[in-house]
Amino acid sequence: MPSFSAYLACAIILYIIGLYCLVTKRNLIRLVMGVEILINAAHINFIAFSAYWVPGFIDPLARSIVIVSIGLAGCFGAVLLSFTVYAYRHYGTLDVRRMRELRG
Amino acid sequence: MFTPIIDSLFIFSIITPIIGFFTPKKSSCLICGAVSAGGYVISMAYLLHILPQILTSPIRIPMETSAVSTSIVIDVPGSLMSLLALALGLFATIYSMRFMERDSGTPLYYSLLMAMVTGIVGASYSGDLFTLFIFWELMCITSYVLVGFRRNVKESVEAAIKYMLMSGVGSATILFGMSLLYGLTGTLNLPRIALSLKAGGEPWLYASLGMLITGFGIKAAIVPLHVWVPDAYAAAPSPISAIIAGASTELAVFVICKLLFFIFPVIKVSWMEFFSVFAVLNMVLGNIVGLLQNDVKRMLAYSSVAHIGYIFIGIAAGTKLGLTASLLHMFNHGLMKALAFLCMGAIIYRIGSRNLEDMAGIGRRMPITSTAFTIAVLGLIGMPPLNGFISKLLLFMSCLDSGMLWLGILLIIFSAVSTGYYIRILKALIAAPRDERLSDVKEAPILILIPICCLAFLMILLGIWPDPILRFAEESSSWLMEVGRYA
Repeated sequence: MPSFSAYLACAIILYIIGLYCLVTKRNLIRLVMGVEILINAAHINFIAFSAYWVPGFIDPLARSIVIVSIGLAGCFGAVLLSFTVYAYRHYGTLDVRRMRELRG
Repeated sequence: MFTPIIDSLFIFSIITPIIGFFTPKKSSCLICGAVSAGGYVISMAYLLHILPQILTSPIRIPMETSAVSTSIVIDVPGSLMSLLALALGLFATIYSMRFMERDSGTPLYYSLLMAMVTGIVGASYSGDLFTLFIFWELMCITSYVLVGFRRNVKESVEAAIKYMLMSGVGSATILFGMSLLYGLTGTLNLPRIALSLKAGGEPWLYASLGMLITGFGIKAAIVPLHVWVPDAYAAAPSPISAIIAGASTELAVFVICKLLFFIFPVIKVSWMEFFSVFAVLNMVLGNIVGLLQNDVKRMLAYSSVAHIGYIFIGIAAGTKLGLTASLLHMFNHGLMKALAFLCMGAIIYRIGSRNLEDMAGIGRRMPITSTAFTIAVLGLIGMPPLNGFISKLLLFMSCLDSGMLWLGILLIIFSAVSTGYYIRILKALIAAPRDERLSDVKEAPILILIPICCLAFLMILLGIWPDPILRFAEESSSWLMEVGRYA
């Protein structure tokens, strides 16, 4: 069984991968995936910590926050993907750098 | 379920679209608006009814701690925040009954607006990080949909996507920070975290603090993270801009205050320099970029960024006076900015343009709206008889009090700089009309004027007689400063 710090390192690496994806990718669908990776990094952290405090006991609080948060991440993904569809209808592309109606 | 304050909002947000389904399409905007306004009134009446009881001791829900011990704590600081959110929600709903009549899907619009206010109220009452996160996400997800509500307009879809990407990273960062805090303490309950952090000073604690402040800072528009603010405010329908600028940004600052004063005093980190740097950055960028804008809603958005900077001055002072000033300015800025956006919306409703040049001479055609807009702008500058003056004065005094005179002087200098663009708005309002295009513009309809007049009256009232709200803010800050009173 891997030690506790392995899980923590895994979560941090996932977080960095998600940020990298958000910074470098141009396709909107990939950006949605980047945000989902970021949220999942936090989930892994919660699950790892839930078994950390008392050996042999798993804290239901951390489990419940992860389950609720998976649902919320699903809502987030659904809303963002539906906006992606509208953006595709308006612009004819999914490249975020071509969406330049607004002057930042 | 929770408490009548949140329950009535939840129930009305569910029944509003059901009623909208059975009413004819033509009148559904009016009827659903009236029904959802009823929900806000019930919730606000109950809040005002239990306010004397809250002032003596906070009400906990559930009463006994369960195994997972999630809770809602109805306390004084949360009541300040949720009173603001409920008032703005009520005004925005009455306003939307005429403003949104040309859009389709208005029953769902009211339902989403109500869910967003529920999120703000619930997050301000949350007693632990779990509840905070759920209500926070409720507010976030509904606000994404509302910003992009006019999905057939290119601009609003783009603004919604930009807003969602930034805010989604913020939510994930908040969750990561919470998981680190949970790993350090083994609980998510705020008072218990405060008790078990006594050892303090580890690097993970700083990482978690940094992640939480970054996450909430994206919503609060701290300067490097403010990019979504002008786009989202400009593209959203005006009542939604009013709620996001007036309540949701304020909630983010309130949560940062709550976390700082609740959890982190035990580790004795000095956050004064940190927050004064961000206060200065916000003031500089908000006021200087605001000068360059021609679109009035973008101008107001940058003024919002600057005002977040003013609020941070009080947090940077770190004293009880500073926190009182911050909470008071939060409340006052919510009222002022909501009024400014609602007036701007009334002008857009009549002339269909957000440009400053097109507005020239509107004051002759829409006298009531323009008077209210003038009151809002003077309040944002900080003119003496209005509420903005009281809170800016308190912020300046808190700087003197904690020996940061330079920050107070910067506050005054940048208030003077900001006058530059507020005066442009006033000039456009009172200028002589340039062309005949405005000659058939009438005063806004009565349902749009009611919320505008109420907010303008509130601003003058709280400017002349600031005593009740000042005492409320003072009581809130003393609750936040002394965590022991919650135990």
